[in-house]
Amino acid sequence: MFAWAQPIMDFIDAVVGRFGSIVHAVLPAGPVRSLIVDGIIAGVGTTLTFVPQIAVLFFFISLLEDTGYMARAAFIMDRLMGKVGLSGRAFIPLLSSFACAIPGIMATRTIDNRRDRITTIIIAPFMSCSARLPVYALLIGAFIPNVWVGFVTLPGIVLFSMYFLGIAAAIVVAALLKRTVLRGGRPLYVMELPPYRMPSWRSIVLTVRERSWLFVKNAGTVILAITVVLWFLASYPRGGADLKALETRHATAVAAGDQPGAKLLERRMAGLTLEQSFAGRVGRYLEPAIAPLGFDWRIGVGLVTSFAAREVMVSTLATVFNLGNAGQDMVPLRQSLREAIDPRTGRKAYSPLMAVSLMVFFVLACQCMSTVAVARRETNSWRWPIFMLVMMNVLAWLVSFAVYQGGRALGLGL
Amino acid sequence: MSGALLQNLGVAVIVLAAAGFLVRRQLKRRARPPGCDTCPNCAVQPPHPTAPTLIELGEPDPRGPDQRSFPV
Repeated sequence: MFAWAQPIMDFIDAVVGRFGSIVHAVLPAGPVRSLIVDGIIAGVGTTLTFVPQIAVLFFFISLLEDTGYMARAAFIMDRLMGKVGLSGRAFIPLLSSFACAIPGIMATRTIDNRRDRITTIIIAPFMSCSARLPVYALLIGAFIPNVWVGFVTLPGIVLFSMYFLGIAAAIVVAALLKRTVLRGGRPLYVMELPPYRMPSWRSIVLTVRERSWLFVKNAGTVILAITVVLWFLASYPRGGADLKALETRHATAVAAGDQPGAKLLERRMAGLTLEQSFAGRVGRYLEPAIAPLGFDWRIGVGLVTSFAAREVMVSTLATVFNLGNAGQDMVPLRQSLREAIDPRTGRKAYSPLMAVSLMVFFVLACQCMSTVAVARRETNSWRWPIFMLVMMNVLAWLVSFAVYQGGRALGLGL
Repeated sequence: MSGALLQNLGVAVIVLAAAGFLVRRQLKRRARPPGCDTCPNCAVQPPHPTAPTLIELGEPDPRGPDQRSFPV
């Protein structure tokens, strides 16, 4: 999936970067240019880079559905599901959750047993939905070297590991629930296997087109609006005594013809504006809670906005890093992440270990409020959705903490 | 009117329009029960009657699947 999507991703990335640079050169300096280049083009453009991966993912899901393999997979999984106390009937809702947890949770209506159904609803959001894919793709593309390990690439192994981690977490949680609060006998599962058939290419093309278009539409509406609001939150309030002092020094440097000094001061001013902005303050407020996971305040801002939709994390980081770039030409987000400097230490802010820790957090955290709302409706109670929200987010924090601190203890911190 | 003031006005209009869009969308979502159509990522259409599949064997619920609820 990575290898196939990469050339198109790079192409879109280059087009977005070039477009941003042209707009930057054409528009006069000021807040409108910053909003368009650092906010809209960086945020929405970077999100659109991940359309090829969404298309490849849904191509394979449609292929499995159309050949009739899904029913066989449910049959094969029945024995494994039985070990954790669920039947093969839970397999189809869980599989649907790889696209989106909401239809997955709604598909649990086919499960007769109340306890099995609630268990399936609670574990469905562990499956890596398509909204997580852009975050995985961004972090893997930025930090995991593209080397071959045997007959697969390392980025492929890491991506597969994230999907596998979600499945493993779901199995463990289901086993615990079925042995404690949702204890019950294993239900009988009877099904008739349909024959294998050649996939309908028309149906596959339609599905891929529909899913890709929906992603683009989402980027052009919700993500665009969130990006504009986030740009405002990351750009204002402007001012402050420190900034005024830097502006005076900058004016002096420009008047003296000290170009390198002026550039350096521009970067410091951009960094200070971002830190003192509303979004920066929220990120700083969160930093003590997320610092043990290897995340800084900029990732914290992304984590907050990802509760609106997980893929908004990508556009948020693109906006935050472009604003911190002091009005220079647009730099691809992957490169910005790799080259980001921690101002306190002067060393690189992020490492591959932090990227893995962040991906693990995204695998396990319950960030989708629509999923919580649907779980509330389907269980007819707030008890289970709240349990799901708290359990998943605590688990995400604990496992990310173990990954990051364990990795550092093993000397994998850089 | 100076260029800087115009720019600030333009930015204010765009930001307010974006915030208004998000608030209106949220209000619309609250007005209807949550379902597939509330998910920003999913292409599944709102629930509609579907033909029974081969997997749905066994005793059918006389109330139909949509009528079931499990108060806990």
